[in-house]
Amino acid sequence: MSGLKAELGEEPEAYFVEKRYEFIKRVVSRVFKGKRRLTLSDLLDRVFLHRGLGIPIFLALWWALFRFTFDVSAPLSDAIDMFFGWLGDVARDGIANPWLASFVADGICAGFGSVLVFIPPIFFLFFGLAILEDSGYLARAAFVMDRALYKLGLHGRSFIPMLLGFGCNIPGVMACRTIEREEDRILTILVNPLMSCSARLPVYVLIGGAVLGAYAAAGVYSMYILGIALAVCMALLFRHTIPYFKGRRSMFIMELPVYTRPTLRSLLRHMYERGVLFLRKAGTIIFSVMVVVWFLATHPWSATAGGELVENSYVAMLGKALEPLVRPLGFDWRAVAALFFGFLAKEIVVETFGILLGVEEQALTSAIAQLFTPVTGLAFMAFTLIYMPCVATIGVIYRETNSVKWTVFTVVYGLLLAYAVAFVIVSVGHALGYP
Amino acid sequence: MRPALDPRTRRTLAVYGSVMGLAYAIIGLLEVVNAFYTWFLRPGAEEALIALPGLPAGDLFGGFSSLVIGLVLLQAVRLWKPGRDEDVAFVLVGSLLAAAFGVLYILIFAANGVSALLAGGEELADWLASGWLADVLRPEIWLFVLVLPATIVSWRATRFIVGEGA
Repeated sequence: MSGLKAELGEEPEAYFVEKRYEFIKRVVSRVFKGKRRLTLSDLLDRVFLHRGLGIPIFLALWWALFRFTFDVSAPLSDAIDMFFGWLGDVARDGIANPWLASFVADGICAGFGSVLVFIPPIFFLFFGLAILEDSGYLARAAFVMDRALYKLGLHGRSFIPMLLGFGCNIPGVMACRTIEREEDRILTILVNPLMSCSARLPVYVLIGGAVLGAYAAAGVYSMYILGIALAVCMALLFRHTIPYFKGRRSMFIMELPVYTRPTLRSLLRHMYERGVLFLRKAGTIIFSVMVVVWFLATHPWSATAGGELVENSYVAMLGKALEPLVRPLGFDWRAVAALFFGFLAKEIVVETFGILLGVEEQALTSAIAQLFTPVTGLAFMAFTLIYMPCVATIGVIYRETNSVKWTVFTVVYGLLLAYAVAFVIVSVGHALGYP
Repeated sequence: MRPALDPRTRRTLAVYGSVMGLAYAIIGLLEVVNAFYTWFLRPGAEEALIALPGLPAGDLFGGFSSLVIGLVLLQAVRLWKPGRDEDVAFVLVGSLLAAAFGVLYILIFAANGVSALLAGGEELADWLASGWLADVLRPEIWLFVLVLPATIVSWRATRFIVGEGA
C-alpha cells in the first residue's frame, strides 16, 4: 500500500476518486458534443472548491457566522436580561414568604432567565447556518474538507455529521449511519461530541463575555476551531493506535447541489425548527434540573440562612469534594459544581452559575469575572467543550454503536482530554504572562 | 463557442479586482500583525502596534478573513490575459465575501449602538464619545463600498458568461 502511495504521489483512495471523476467527465464529453455552456454553479465552484483557497474561505465564512451570532444578537440578549432582572426584583419585593420568594426570584427568574438570554444567539446561529445550507455552500464545505479530513484519518463523509454536530450532537451521531464501513462510522461517532453543539454556546457567551471583553467573539470562535482540530487529532490518534480502526477507508463521492438564492421564508422556518428545540429543552429538562439545583444550593435551609450562604449548601459540599481535582486548572468549587450538573445538559452550567452566585442576570457577568481570569475562563470554556457529551448524546452513542465499551470510552477519553487541554491552556497562558 | 467578455470589461475587472485585493490583503495583514502583538507579544496591551483610525487592535480572525478576501480578489489578475473569462468568478466571490463582511460590520455597529442605548449611563456616554467612531471607521466597511462597482460589473459579466445576460 505504501509502495502504491509513493507510486501515485498521493493517497490511493483519493487517487481513485479523482480517476472516477475524470472517467465520468470523459464519458459526458463524448455523449454531449460541443463545449457546454458554463453555469453559475460551475463558476462559483472554481473559487469555493479551489485547492488553496477553499478551506480559508470556509474559515472566513465561519468567522462571519460567529460575529453575526455573538455581536449582532447582543442587544436582544440584553433586553431579555433586563426583563428577567426586573421580574426577579418584582418577585422578591412582592412575595412575603422568604422560601417562596427565594424559589421564584433566585430559582425560577435567575435560573430560567440566565438560560433564556441565549435564545437570540442560538436563533441567529441557526439563521446563519440556514443561509449557508440553503444556498448550497455547506455541501461545498464538506467537499473541500474531504481531502484534508481523509489525509488526517477521517472519512470524507464524516464532515456532514460533524457539521450537524454544531447544531446538536444527537443528529450528528445519528447521521453517521450514512458511513458504510463500521470502523469509519464508529470513529466518527467517537469524535462527534467534540463538535461544539449549540448547548455549549451559552457557556462560551457567558464566560467569554465576562472575562475576554472585546475578544469574546474570538474566544467563542476558537472553541469551534478547537473542537474541529481536536476531532481531527483524536481521529488520527485512534486510527493509528487502536487496531480496530486500522485498515482501508471507503471512498467518498458526493453530489453537489446547484447554488440557489435562499428565501427568507425557508431561512426563518429552518431557524425556528432548530431553535425551538432549545426552547423545549429549556421548558422541560433545564427547568426540572434548575429546581433541583436551586434546592441543593439553598438547603439545608437553616445552614444556608435561607439560601443566603451558598457555601453551606449541599451543592457546595459536592463542589468542595471535587475541587482538589480541578484546582490545577484554576477552577473553584462553583465551577466544578456547574460542570457536574452540565453533564445533564450543557446549558445547565450557566443556570447553575446563576443560582450559585446568587445574583441577578445583569450582575452574573461581573460575578463570573471575579471567578475566572481570561486564561482560566478560556480553559473552562475548553473544558466545557470537551469533557463529556450530555446524557442524551451518551444514550444515542450507545444506541448507534451498540457497545458499552465504545460509550464508556467516549466519556473517559473526553474527560482526560478536557483536563489535558485545559491544563495546557492555563500553563501556556501563564507562561505568556497572562494572569 | 462560448461567448467571450469584451477586452475592456475583462481588463477593468483585472485591474480593479487586483487593486481591491491588494487593499484587503494589506488591511488584513495589518490587523493580523496588531492582533499578534496584543495577543502574544504584549498580552493585554491597550494600544495597538499600528494605530490607524478604525483598525482593530486584536481581531486576529477578522484580519485573517480580510486577508482571504484579498487573496481571492487578487486572482482577478488572471483576467488580464484573454481566454480565462471564467476567472471572473474570483472577482464575484471576492466581492460577495467583501459584502458579507461589510454588512456584518455595519450590523455590529448598529447592535453596539442599541446595546449602549439599552444600558444607558456610562456605557452610552462611552459609545457616543468614541465607540461609534471606532465601529464606523472599520476599514472593511469602506472597502466594501469601494468594491461595490466590481460586484456589479462581475455579476453582469457572470450572467453574460452563463448566457443569462446580454
